[in-house]
Amino acid sequence: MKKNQLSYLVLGVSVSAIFLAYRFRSEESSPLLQNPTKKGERLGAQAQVNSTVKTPTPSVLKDPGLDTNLVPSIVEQVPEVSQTMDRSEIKRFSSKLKHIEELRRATLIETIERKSSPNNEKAYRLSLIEDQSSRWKRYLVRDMIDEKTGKVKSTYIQIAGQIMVRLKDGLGDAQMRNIARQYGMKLDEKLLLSRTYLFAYTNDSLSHTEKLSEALQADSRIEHVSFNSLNYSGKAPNDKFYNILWGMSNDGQDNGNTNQAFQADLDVQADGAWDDITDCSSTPVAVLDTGIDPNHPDLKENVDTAQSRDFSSANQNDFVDVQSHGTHVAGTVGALGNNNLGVAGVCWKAKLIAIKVLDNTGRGTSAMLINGLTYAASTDAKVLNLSLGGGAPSQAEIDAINTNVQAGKLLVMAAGNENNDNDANPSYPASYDVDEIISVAAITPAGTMATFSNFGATSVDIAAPGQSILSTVPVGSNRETEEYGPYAMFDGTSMASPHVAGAVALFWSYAPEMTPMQVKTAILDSGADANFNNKSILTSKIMDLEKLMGQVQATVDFTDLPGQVSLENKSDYQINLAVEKKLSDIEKIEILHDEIVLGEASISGGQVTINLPIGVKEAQLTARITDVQGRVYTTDVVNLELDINKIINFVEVQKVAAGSVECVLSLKSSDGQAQVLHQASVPSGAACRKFCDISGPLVYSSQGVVQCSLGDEVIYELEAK
Amino acid sequence: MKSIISFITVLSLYSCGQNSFDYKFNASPAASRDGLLNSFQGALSKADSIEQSEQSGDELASILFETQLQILNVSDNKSLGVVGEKDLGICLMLSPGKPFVEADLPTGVLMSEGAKVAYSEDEGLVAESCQDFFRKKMPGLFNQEFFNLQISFYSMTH
Repeated sequence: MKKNQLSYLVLGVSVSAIFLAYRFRSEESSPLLQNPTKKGERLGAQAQVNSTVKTPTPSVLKDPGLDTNLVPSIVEQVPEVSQTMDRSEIKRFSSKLKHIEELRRATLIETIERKSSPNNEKAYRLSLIEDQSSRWKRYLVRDMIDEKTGKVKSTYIQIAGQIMVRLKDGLGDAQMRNIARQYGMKLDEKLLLSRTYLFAYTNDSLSHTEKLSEALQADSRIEHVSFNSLNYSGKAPNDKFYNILWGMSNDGQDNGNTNQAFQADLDVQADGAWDDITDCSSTPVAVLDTGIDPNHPDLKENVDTAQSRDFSSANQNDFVDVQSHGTHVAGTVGALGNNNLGVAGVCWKAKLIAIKVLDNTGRGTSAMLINGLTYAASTDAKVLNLSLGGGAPSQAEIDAINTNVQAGKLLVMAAGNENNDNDANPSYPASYDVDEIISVAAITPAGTMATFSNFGATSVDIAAPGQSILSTVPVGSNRETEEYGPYAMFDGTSMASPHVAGAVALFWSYAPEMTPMQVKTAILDSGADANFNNKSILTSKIMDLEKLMGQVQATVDFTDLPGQVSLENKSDYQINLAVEKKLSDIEKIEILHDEIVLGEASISGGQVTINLPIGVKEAQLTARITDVQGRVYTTDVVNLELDINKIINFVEVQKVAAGSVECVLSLKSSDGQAQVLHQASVPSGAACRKFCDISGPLVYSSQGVVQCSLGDEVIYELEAK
Repeated sequence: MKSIISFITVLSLYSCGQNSFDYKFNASPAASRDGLLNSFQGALSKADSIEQSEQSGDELASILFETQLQILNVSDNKSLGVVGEKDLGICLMLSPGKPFVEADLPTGVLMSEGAKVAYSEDEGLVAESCQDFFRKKMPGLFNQEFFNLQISFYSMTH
């Protein structure tokens, strides 16, 4: 056993002993009350001490002012536990990563590795990959390699066979044509940026691609060269440390401080919900904690200072957090998102009300909590987060909670950090038998229940990320770190609870017509299934915001859609839709391809005529639904292959053409067969070019490549898209 | 417009082995471009007279091809450009049965006088891009009228 494991065990045993001793004493002294709780029938009416809920770790930094005799709970100060994390291993996550994963499963044509070079070129691995099911078919996957560790630092996806060139000032189309001819490229598109061209080249082998790129870069006529990279629409904020927030979107990054296998996608799937909404300011969240630092640059715009209060001291206006726990919790709920700074909360824009019920040492009495709860009921907060516990049960606390219930609020609470079964040994306030409480357990980045997390098959509702959570800490506090500045990593169900509180706020902002219990039911119903082995919770689920949004959103399915549609002389086509309404009535259903509206369906579905896009091989159909509440959402893409052809006879052209050069316009099918559409006799090769450029665009075929050539020289070629 | 058509006709008549137009075509590239534009306008006028039929595409190709061949002959004879390079020019779209409405045209798309031809303002396009150009610029029309539209290309290279 390693030294730190031993100290951890000793500490764990000590804390457990203190806790058990306290529980024993508490149960002895508490009178039996008439209104029993869910599991613990004994409630203490006297003032109890609540404090922040975090888990002890191997390197606990004890607050010198903390007297464990007076703080008989699980609570400890927790240091930043993941300092050893190798940040270089962490990837940015978004839908891009899903695409990378898809490409890694597709057909690998070839791959090469290059070491770093003296001219500052970084080490990389370049792979040519074919994915016939996707739009561009062939891709370059460029993995940037850290030569020290051999690990991939970042990955770029580029379109194979395409390269972008910007010419030097003063040069233009004439030089572009010379360059294209010299390097065997075809102009694909003249970009809107001056002197900038997108070229296509046929030989997309890696050796040719690299040679071409090097030659172009060395060409004195060219200002710069770049590949045509893919960008992604997945909504991920640009916050500096977003890639570390595994709780929002877990891409399998190694969090360094666990020896567990890391499991991707076990997170709250916040990025899946952010496509629908990021602003929770219509659902204010009260954070009953150690206060909030209202001057933190990642929080200040989201803190409602007018409604914030302090019930832990004589000065009610002093809600400013110095201890850090409340600021950390607040950051997970609603740190400003997409502001190029620090972290992003579940809510990018929020209205956070600081209600300080724990003092500057992180402790608070039952009286403070009751005052805070009672005050919260009078604010416009709709969600309360209580990442605290450890006090004995109290009917007055229940009464204070019920004032909030009567005011239509939901309360989200940390289940506690004692590795305790809350069914057998309730942990308050999370274990109070109040329907409007959501009790939250903590999971690790590996998707397992955190070793410290309380559980309970009936009394703990759902699990959320609660280990190695990076969030805000007060500016100038001793929790600031060299690595992150006013941000730090904490562990605990205290960190899990605000993930759920933020989710409630986000969801309720999206579905404001729902009642508190409808919101709670939706949250518990929509979690992602998980297996916590012997640490059961009510739902056996992890918070899943993307699924949660699906509780509101109607579903539209394209039924009986054939694989291929043949169209002749018209583009109208009838499809069938199956519509399932969810929360609200539907106002409008539009069918789209590539943001183009093809038709509008009846709100009850059935048959609808759409105007299919012409000029593409495949229609990518989505349904965009608008409900009566004004919510707009789209379904997944369904592909529909289109078979249309427009062939011209060129009788008139034949009359015009006269000469000895044979120019052939043909249609080449995918199996290599060529069908001659027209053969023109023209006076010269140049005339053939004119013929091809004029007649080529008149022909469309979805069945292959329209090609016009003079002998072996292909002059015009257009593949149906 | 009559004078332009006459001019093109004269060019075609004298384009083979005649030196009598040396004076006119011993000119700057700008003058050459003016000539191309004039020819293009002439072609547009002819295209405006095309009626909706199964041969509409043939007729459009014929007009453009004839016009371009005339220019090509003059260019070859007078060495106004390098023959055989990738041509840059104008994408055009003929809608013989349903004239365009100017107010419906997006930025970057112009219309012939007879309203049957819409064409790119940009003269630096390539033939291969013409389908995409109109599909993106006028998606609704492209989808609805695809089978009644003829898309082609007019070279401005020479």
